[in-house]
Amino acid sequence: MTMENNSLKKEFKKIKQNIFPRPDWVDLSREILLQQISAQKEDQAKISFFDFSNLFIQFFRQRLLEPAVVMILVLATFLGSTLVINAAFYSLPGESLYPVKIALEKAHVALISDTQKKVELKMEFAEKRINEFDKIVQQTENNPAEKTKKIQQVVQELRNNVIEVNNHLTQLSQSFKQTDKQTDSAEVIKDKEQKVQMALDISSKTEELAKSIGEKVAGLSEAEQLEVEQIVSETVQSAQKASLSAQQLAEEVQSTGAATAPADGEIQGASNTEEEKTGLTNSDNNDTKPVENKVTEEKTDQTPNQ
Amino acid sequence: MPTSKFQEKLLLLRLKKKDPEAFAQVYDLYVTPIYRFIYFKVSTRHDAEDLTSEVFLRIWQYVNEVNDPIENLNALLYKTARNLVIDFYRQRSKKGYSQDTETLNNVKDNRQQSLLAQIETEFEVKNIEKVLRQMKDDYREIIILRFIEELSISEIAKILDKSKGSIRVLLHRALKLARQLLNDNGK
Repeated sequence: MTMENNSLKKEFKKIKQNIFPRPDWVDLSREILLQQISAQKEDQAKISFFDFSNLFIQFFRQRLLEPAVVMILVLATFLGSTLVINAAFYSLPGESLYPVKIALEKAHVALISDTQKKVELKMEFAEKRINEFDKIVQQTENNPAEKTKKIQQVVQELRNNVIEVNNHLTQLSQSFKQTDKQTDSAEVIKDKEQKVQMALDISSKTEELAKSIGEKVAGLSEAEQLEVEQIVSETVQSAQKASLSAQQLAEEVQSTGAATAPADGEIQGASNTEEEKTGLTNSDNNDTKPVENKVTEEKTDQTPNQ
Repeated sequence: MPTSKFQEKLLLLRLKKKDPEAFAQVYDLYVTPIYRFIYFKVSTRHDAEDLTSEVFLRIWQYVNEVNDPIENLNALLYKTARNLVIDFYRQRSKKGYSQDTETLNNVKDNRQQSLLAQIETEFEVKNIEKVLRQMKDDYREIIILRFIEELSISEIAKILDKSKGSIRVLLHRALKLARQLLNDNGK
């Protein structure tokens, strides 16, 4: 009977090989089904770490409390959050993770207390917007209406960034003017140097930004250009304004003599000179070079005395 | 089973997220087994095709609408197929054409072998298929699940909502019947 059973089983297995759906139908049906479900589907979300961890827990329920597993879970938590953040990192407007990305950027900025670094960060984000813009323009499969919407989103973010950069620059220059009047330590002077550098960086970056926005927009179709025209021109203006403010700030800092920081013993002398410089600077912003030279000379004069 | 247990669960998770790619993968993995399963329960290839498509559509809708976690995709698919066939028969009145002819037609369409091999296998397949079609649905079903789809006893138990013991008993009886029918047909 077992032999009969075995031969029976073999027969049944043969059926398996012989009965299968028509390949044509399989493909056709697949396409139809996919069409039907995409008509129903909402925005996709990538699997969040939470869901994945639930799945993981479900699967390894019994062994969950073993130390090794706990350690893996802890590591996975950190890894997983970076995965989400990284996934968000590359998202574009229109994708569901894009708001997460923006939120993360804002959180990042909020956590940085140093104003300087904040401005740098915001410049980075502005550059990112440009990159996103590029990517969107390349996505030719989008229909024009969607594309325009996305472009608007990106450019708006860009404009916000640039405006914020502007604000920070104004803040910086105001705070800078205040520090001038106090006794300046070596640290403060070094700080000023950095600020000059940064202001110059910002200036050049915003110029580039303004240029590249112009270029990108030129790359769009006419209809799209019309749509984004206003917001783009606002952005470009803001960018130029930022560039100008940055340059002004740079000039201010330079005119007060951001040369090498003097040693401790020379601080008093240096600070006296600073006060002189300040007096000069406040009255005449544009005349930076002569003042600078004079200051440098004075300093070198002092050094041998001490 | 087409995939490992964990892969299956992961696929399920993606499916729940309304990921069409996941759906496509599920389709690719299961279309042939489900088709086969339905094929033996219905008379025509056309009906089998329609019902198979319907199974996948239902699965998609189910996953989207119901929030309960799905334990077993395999079981869900076969259960859905089963239920759909039951509904199918409830709705339409049985037509009176002979089953044997249908079987023959179906079998011919599906194979692309040399003529001789075709004749040979046709004879064998015809025989065993005939046997299957002669059986009661319960027995036929269990033979299909166990020996054609090669599912485990516990999986079959889940699909049919029965205990493992009952499955074993059913299987034993089904095989016995199959042997009997084969011998009868041979005479």
